Amino acid sequence: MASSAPSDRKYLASHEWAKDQDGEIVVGITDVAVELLSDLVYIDLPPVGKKVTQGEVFGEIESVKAVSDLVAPVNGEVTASNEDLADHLDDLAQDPFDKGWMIRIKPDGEASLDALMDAAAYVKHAAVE
Amino acid sequence: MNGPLLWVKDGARDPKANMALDEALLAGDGAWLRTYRWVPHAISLGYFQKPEDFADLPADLPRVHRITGGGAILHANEVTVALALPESLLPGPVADSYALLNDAVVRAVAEHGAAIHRAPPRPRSDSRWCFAAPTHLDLTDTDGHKVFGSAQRRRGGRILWHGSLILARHELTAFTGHLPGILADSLAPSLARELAATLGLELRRANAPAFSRPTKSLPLVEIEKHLAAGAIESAAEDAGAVAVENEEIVASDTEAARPGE
Repeated sequence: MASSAPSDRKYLASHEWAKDQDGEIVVGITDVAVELLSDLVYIDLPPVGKKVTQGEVFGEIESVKAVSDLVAPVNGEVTASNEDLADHLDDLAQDPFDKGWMIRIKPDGEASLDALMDAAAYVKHAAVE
Repeated sequence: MNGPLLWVKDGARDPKANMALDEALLAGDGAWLRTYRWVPHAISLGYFQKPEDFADLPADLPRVHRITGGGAILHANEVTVALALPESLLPGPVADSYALLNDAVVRAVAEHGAAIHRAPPRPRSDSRWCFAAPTHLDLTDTDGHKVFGSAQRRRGGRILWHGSLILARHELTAFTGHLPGILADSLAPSLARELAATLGLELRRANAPAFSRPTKSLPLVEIEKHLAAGAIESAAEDAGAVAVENEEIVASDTEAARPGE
């Protein structure tokens, strides 16, 4: 499946993106995730202040026919949650890399995204989905 | 090389135990299929549904949350399937996986002389009930009523697919389709064979696996208790909690024909 993943961020195999923005990590899901799920109906995001753990579930998203987990890319604390998204899932469907952002995480200590895929690697990964 | 599809031909279990077992299959390894029934009959709510939205229904009808999404289902006279497997066995868009699995269900039902079909495309329903309005990812009986509904949970690279095939209507959900005259015990092997063939896996009978972790639905000690107690094996043995299957089909049909009562 073709992805137009921007090169200014990193990616998880489970189709989340993570972007370092002034020392905090902004997280969302990719265009491929949206296409795989199709017809999003519900999202559950953590509140500000919630601790999240790298590799663990931070939220859930439901499409018409599947509930999927959202996986955190780093350890840290949620400093912002895109609360408008629940009522505007079209934003996520149409613009997953910008308007469709989900949470901002203040990492515990020196968080690194180096272990995640860059855009080129993710596009290759997504192509076999 | 893909491993086998391990089939747990289960009987009827308590609603919470049913959900806990399926959640544990999702958390496990390999490809598993469990076919089962519900005693007592119960309502399963989709993952994000709220119990208060079902407060108008009889209080003695147990409610349980599914880990899968979608609308609520009244589980009475049906065959329930839970398929847990790696996502790699069902690649591609979620909708494609439904089409593939639904076709297997159609073939399994056809073995019993009944025809069910993919529903035509239609806008998403806002009904709280899974079976109220079929979409193109559902199956309908010859009268166009939804007779098979399913939902998925995707977690950690694995998929849990829940499906309910209605054999006889329940009076509270008389809008469903039904498959009169087909028994759960005879349909389950057909479903298992067709699903295994669709997935390209060798079908092997298995007992429910040993579980090593608690689930959201039940703590580990409760799961072990339910496993030790076993399931009510055949539909006929459900007597007392559930009427004998073919007799209940007749009763439910009669009630469905008198919706005002």
